[in-house]
Amino acid sequence: MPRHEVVSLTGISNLCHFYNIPFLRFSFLTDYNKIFRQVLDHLNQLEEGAFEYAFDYILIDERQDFPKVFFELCERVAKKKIYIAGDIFQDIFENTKGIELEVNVILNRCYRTDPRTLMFAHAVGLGLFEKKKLNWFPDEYWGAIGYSVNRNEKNIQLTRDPIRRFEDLEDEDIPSMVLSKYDRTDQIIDIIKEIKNKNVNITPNDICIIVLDDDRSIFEYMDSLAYKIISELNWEINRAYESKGKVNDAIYLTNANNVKGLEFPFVICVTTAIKNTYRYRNVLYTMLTRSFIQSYLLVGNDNGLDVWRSGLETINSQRAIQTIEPTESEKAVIKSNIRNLQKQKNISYKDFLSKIFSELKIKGECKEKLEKALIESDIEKFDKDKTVKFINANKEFYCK
Amino acid sequence: MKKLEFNISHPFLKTFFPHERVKTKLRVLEILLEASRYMLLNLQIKKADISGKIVLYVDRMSRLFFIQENKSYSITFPFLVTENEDGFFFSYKNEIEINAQTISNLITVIKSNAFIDECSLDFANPIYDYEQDFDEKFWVLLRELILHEDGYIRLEKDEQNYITAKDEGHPKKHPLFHMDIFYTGRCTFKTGLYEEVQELHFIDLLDTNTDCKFFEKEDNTRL
Repeated sequence: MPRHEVVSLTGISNLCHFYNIPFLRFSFLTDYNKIFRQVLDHLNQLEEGAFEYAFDYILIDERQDFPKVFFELCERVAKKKIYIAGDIFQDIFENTKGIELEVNVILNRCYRTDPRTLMFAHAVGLGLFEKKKLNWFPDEYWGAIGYSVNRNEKNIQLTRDPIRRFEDLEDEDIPSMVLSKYDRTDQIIDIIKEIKNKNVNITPNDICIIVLDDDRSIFEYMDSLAYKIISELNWEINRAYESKGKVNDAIYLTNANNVKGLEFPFVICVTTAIKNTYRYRNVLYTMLTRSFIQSYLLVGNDNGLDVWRSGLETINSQRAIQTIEPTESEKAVIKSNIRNLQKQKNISYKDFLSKIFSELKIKGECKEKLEKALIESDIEKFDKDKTVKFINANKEFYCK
Repeated sequence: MKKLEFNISHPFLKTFFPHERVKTKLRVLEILLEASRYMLLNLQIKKADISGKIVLYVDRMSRLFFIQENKSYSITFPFLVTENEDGFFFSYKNEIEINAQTISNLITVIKSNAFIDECSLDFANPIYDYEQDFDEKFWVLLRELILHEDGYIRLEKDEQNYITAKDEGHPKKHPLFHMDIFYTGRCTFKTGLYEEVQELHFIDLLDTNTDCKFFEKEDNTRL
C-alpha cells in the first residue's frame, strides 16, 4: 500500500523525500530533464523488493510544461493510473511534436475568450492574414483546436461554433476585439474612461495593460503610463512585473512575462510595431486571449495593418477567418523554420548570443563590447536575423 | 553644487510619506528607489495638485530631502548625478545607469519573497538571474545599496502627540517641534527644537560645506 493515502498536492521535493534522493534545485545548469532523470535513474537502480509506490493515482495538469521523462517518472511511481491534462495550443508553434493529438479526450471549446477575439488572436499569431504565414496546420489539428475548415481551392475559411459564455451579457453587441493605431498615452486613459462609463461596477482589478515589446525602453514607458493613470484616474497601479502577482484594487500593468494563467474582463495590449519573430507572435496571441470581454490592441506603427483590419472585419461580420493555404513549398519552409525555432528554445539570451558570436567567429573583448551594445539596443531579444545584422554592421567599430 | 527640485503630486504623497513610520532599511531603500523613479520622470505637476516636494542636493554631501507641511526628512542619495543639455542622469559610479529598468529590477528583488528567504540560495537566485540577463554588476550595485549608510533624519511638527505628552505631564518627551534621528527602535531619538525649521535651514543643517549648528541647553521660557 503506498504511503500517500490522502490526496496530495505535490512536487518533486516530495518524491525526493519519499525515496530519500538528494534534491536538485532548478537552475541554468540543472534543467527539469536532469532533475527528473536523476530521480528515475535512482528508482531504476533499486533492487527488486526495495521499491515502493509513492501514489495510487496521479493527476497532472499543464502537460505542455513538462519534459517526456517526467511522465515516465510518474508512471513509475503511480501504482494504478495517471491522468494528464494540458493545453495543446499554449504555444502556437509547438504543433510539430506530433504526440499532441494522441490523447483520449480533446476539449476544443474555449469558454474564456470571446470567439471573435480568439479567432483574431490565432490569425495574427499564425500570420493568417499575411502573405507569408508563420505556421499552418493539417485539417485534423485545426479541428482539435476548435475550427471547421471550409475549402474553396486555396481559399480557406475557418469557423468556430458559437458559444454562449455569459447568461447575463449580450456579448455579441460588444466589439470583443479592438485594433487601433496608438500615438499618445492619453488613448489608454480614454479607453479606461470609456470602459468605466460603460460598466458601472468596474473595478481596477478588471483591467490589465500589457506592453508587448521586449526592449529596455518599456520600463520608462510603463513608469510614465503608471503615473498618468494614478494622477488622472486616481486608480492604483499594480506593477506586476515587480510584484509578480495580483494586488487588490489596482490595474494590472505588466510586460508579457507575468500574465501566464491569468484572465481579465478587459485587456489592453500596447506595442510600438508588430514584429515578425515567432516569439513575438506567440506573445501577441497569448496576450490577446487573456480577456473574457474585450481585448484592445494598440499599435504605434500601423504600416501593413490594413490586412489585419479587414481580417478583423471578416471575423466580426462572418464569424470566420478568411485565409489562403500556403503552397507545399511554403509549408516546407514553415516546417523547417519551426524546427530551428525549437532547437533554440529554452536557451538563455546569453547562450543565444554566444552561439551567434561563435558562428560569426567573434571572440574576446570585441564579443563583450558587442554583447553589451546589443543588450542596450532596442533589438528584440532572440531575433537572430536582426542580431546578426547589428553585429555585422557594428563590428568594425567595436573590434580592433 | 547641484540642486534639483521635484514637486510631489497628491496621489504620490503616500509613496514618500507613508502612513506607517519608516522602521527598516528595506523601507528606506524602497523610498530611495521610488524617489529616483519619480525624479527621472521629471513631471510637470499642476499647481493645485502639488502636495510636497523632493529636493536632490549634491555638494560634498549628497542627499534627498522630502519636504511637506509639518513633516520633512532626508536620506543620503548614493547615486552619481550628471547634468548635460539633455537633462540629468543617475548612475552608480558611472558604471551602471540608474534608469527605469535598473530601478524596476532592484525594486523587484527587494520586494520579492526570495529577498527575505531563510535559504541563501533562494536569496541569490533572482540576483544571479539579473546578473546573467541584465547587468553583470547587478549584485555589486544591490550590495552597495544594502550596505550604504542611509543617514535618515526627520523633522516634525507633531501637535497631536505633543498635546498627549503635555496632558500626561511630560511635554519634553515629545516636543511640538522636534528632530528624529535614525529609525529603528533601539537607535532613534528625538531632539527638541524651539521652532519650525524651514527647508533651507534643514538643508543647511546637513550641508557639510556650511558652518555647523550647535546644541544649546534648553531654555524653558522658549518652550
